[in-house]
Amino acid sequence: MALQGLKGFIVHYIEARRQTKLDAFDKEAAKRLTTDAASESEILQQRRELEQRYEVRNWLTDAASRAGQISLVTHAAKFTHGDAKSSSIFTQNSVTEGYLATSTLHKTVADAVGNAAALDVAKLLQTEVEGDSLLSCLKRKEPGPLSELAENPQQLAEWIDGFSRALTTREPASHKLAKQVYFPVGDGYHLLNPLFSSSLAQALHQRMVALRFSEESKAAWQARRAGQWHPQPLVIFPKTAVMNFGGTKPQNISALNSSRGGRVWLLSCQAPQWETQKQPPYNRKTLFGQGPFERTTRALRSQLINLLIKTGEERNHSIRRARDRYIDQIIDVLFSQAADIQRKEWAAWTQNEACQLKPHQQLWLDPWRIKSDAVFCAERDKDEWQEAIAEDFAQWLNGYLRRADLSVGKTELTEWKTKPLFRRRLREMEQVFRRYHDE
Amino acid sequence: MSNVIILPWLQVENANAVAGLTWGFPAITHFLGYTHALSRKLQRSHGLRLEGCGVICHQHQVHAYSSGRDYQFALTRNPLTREGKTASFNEEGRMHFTVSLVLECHGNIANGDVGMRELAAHLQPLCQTQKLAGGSITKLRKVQVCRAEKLKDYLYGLMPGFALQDRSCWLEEHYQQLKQRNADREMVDAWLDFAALKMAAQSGEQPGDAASWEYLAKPQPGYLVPLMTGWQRISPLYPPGSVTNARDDASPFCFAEAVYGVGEWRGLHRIQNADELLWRYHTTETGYYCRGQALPDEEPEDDSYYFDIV
Repeated sequence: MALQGLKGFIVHYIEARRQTKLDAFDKEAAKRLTTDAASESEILQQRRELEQRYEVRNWLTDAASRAGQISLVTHAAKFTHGDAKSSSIFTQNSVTEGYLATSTLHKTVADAVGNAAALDVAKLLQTEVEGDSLLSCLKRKEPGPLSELAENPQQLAEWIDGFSRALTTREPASHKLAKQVYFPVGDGYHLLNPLFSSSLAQALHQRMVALRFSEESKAAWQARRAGQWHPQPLVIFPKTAVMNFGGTKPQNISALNSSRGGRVWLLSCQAPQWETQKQPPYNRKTLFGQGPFERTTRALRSQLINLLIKTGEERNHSIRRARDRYIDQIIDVLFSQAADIQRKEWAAWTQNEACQLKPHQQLWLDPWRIKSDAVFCAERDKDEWQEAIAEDFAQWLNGYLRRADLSVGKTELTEWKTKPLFRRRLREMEQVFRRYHDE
Repeated sequence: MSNVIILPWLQVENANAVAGLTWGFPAITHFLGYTHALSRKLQRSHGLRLEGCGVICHQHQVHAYSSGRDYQFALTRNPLTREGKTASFNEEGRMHFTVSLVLECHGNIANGDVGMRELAAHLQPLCQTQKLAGGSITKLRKVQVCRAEKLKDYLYGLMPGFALQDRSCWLEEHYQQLKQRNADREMVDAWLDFAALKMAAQSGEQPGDAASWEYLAKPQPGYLVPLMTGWQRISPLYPPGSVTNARDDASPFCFAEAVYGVGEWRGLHRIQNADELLWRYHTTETGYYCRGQALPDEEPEDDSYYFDIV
């Protein structure tokens, strides 16, 4: 059944091309008839020739002879550099080792590189009809619909041979504009020539386009703006960057690149960026509460609250692990900010008039003051301040949870046990600081 | 593992900010490459071998700008061609960053503490002569060499910072879960889930009902990012000398593509030992990977402190 469809497509594809050519020719002919003295018979003769060229068998023979000018590939060399002349590859690799690679795609979309004038052949080979394509037939080494279209076995062989040339890789070659990387293997090295996977980029592109521009997504965005319900979740990729390949001529790189408008979206793998404090936290009573710490942890807190609301009373291992990991992330932010404030060059900043911090937070956030202030040092050595800070943290977090809790009408969260975890981190940090400081 | 070398607060300018389909931080392969280059030098001079490399990021600034939606890279067009025209060019992303590197050092350092200090002094200028991720090193605090068990004492000096850890095992795990629900789902869907922020309407059931939109959880909690973690072969391995224009005639040659995993940026105060930090080379039949510790999670489960305070 699929073959029927594919054969139909081929015939239709050629007909459509013929029709556009003929239309253009007729328009041109009408002009020529009125302006110069071209005889009608001459034009008719030309028209007949054109028609013949687009007769299915003739066109296929011609296309098969042109197929060698293009290559169907999954990885195109020109993504590395527009003038790179190294080999492009059609990967046959099917190994998956837990990483995302082209081989994990259920169906790789082939890209076409080479003479842009022969890209019509590429389209003929690649277009899928009912899940099959001429390209797949060739790869399976089946003649497919071609056998029904060919006049005789000889012609069929000629076609298959011609079209297959779009698939064969020529002698492998690298190029001065290609990248080459040494990778240590055993006692020696392997030389890798990395190529950009246009097929994988295409898979990503299709998903991003659907998430950003589909009608469903637009409706969901609209619903959210209006504060209304919608079944589809919104998906945002924070901080995507866009990279352009081929400049104003994306078709010079590859056919798929051209279909993507030369754009590839890149996903962010940036490290967290916290606000580096320009000055110590003067005029504040506590590090918790309104300020950079609260701002940076807003999303985390809401995710934590969602988790707790969703799971309710359930307390199995994986939920507890997830909960602790959220809290650890909040603590990450807190400790990063604390470490930022505990700068050696700010030593004794808590003695400044503008400092309104609670005494135990002063002990925490100004450790270098012990060098110059014996009383402060003695106070710090008592180790009681750590308890107080753990208390501050727990109070702060509990406050948030209780507020969220009330709004959904659950029982209170007194059994919340973050304090010990936090205190342990604090204790460890302090031990390290002592040792670090003594040396 | 016997010793570790710490290169604290390494400031790098104009490094590569794009890694395959990701951007914002150089690929981990760059850091292992840097380590390997240094290892070759130390092997000759001191008989020491460097293997693993841990990366702690303090600061980063990508040369990119955004007018609201996608970021665009700030580009330069140089050098000019011989004719003085602007060269056809390829976009590239550049960034400045400050990182600390923790290098795993094998072999005997003679003369104990004195030897360690001498090695640190030897490394101080040496490690600044190498490029890191294509960028130049412009600043570096005092290099430290210590026994691996003592690493934790030194980590305080690297605060505030976030360590990059390998969470690629979660990619496969999440993919299997997706597949169970829907056989059409592909690995790329699983990967995107780690990069995406999702919001869903919480109340109401009919389109048009009032609802609040809430963030959905990622497949796993943590500051997770998509990451390029190595290469996979996409051609046969050609024997040495059989590929034209190869960089040398002595190494087997192959074409490869970038592969992607998942990483987590994690606060330093949570690092317990050097092994949690380190990334190492890992090769398979067709894969060339950089891999962090395989253990998926955390400290050993200890219930005692969940109950020591009520």
